Amino acid sequence: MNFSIKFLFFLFIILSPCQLFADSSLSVSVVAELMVDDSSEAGNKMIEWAQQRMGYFLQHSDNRVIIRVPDFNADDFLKILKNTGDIINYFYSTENQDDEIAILEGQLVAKEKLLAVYYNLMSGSDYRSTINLEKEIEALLGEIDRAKGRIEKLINNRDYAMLEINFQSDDYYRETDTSTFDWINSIDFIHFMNEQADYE
Amino acid sequence: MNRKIFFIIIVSLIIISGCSRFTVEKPEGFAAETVKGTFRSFSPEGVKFRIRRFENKPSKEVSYWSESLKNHLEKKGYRLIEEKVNSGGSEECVIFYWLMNYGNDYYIYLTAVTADKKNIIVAEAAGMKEEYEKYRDVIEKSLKTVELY
Repeated sequence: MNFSIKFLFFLFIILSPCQLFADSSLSVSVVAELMVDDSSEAGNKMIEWAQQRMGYFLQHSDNRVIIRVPDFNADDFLKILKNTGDIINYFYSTENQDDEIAILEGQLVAKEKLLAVYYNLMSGSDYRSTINLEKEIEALLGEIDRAKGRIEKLINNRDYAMLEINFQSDDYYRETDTSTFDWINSIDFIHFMNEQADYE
Repeated sequence: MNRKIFFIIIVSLIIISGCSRFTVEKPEGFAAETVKGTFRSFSPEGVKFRIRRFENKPSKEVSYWSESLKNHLEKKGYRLIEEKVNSGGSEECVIFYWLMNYGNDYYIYLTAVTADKKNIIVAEAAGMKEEYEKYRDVIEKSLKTVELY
C-alpha cells in the first residue's frame, strides 16, 4: 500500500512538468521557399506528408501549398523539405497565445452571465423593455459567438502548426519580352556567365 | 610600401578606366581589367563582376531605370530574392539579387544600376551561391566606390 502511494506520488512529480509544457499555447508558423524540379509533384508530396501526420491542407496551387500539422517537429519538417527540393528560405516563428485565450475566456464567462441576467429580466418586462432587451441579447449573442470562434481559432493554431511552402521551379530563362532599351536587353545571366576574359 | 602599391593600383584603375566615364576600385581579392570601357574583375573561385556604362537616353533617373530592369528580368522568369539601395557612393545605386539555376548549381546574380544625367552605370556579378556569399560585401563595397564624371 505504501509502495503504491509512493509510486503514484513519484508519477505525479515526474509527469507534472510534462503537463505544464503540454498546456503551452505556442502557435508555430513556418514559411519556406523551395527550389524544385516539378512544383506540382512537390506540392502533392508535402500534402501526403501532412496527411500521414493527421494534418490537412488549406491551399494547394501550382506554386504553393499551405498545410497544417499537429505535433509539429521542426527536424521532421526540414527533412521532408530537403528530400523535396533545395531550401532557399526558411522562416520559423512562434507566438504565445495564452494571454489572449485567458482574456477571451474571461470575457466569455462575463458575457454569458450577462446573457442569463437579460433572459431573467425579459420574463417580467413590458413590451418596450422586451424589445430593448432583445436587441441587447442579439448583440450579446453575436459577441459570444465571435469570442468562441476566436478561442477555437487560437486553440487550433496552437494544436496545428501552419506551414506555408512556396515552390520555385527550374524553368528559368524564358525568352519572352524584349525591352525597348538595348542596354536592358544586354543584361542576361547566361551571356554574362559565358563571357570569356580577354587575357591574351 | 603597401600604401604605395595600393596608390599605384588605384591610380592605374582610374587611368585605365579613363574612357569609361566612371571610376571604380576593384573588389578586394579580385583580379581586374578594363577592356573597351568595360570593367571586369574575377575572384580566384570564379565569381565575376562587370561594370558597363551606357548613355542615359532618354534621360531618366535611377529609379526609372532600376524599375525597368527589374520588370524586364522578372518577365524573363528570373527569381528576385533581394532588393536594396546602396547609398554610400556618389550616386544612389539600386541593387537586385537574383537566384539562378545554372548547370546543377544555384547561383547568385547581382544587377545594380546607378545613373546621372548623362550616364547609366550597370554592374553585374555572379557566382555559385556559397562562393558568392563570401564576396558579397566586398562587391557591394566596390560598388560604393563607383564615381561618374
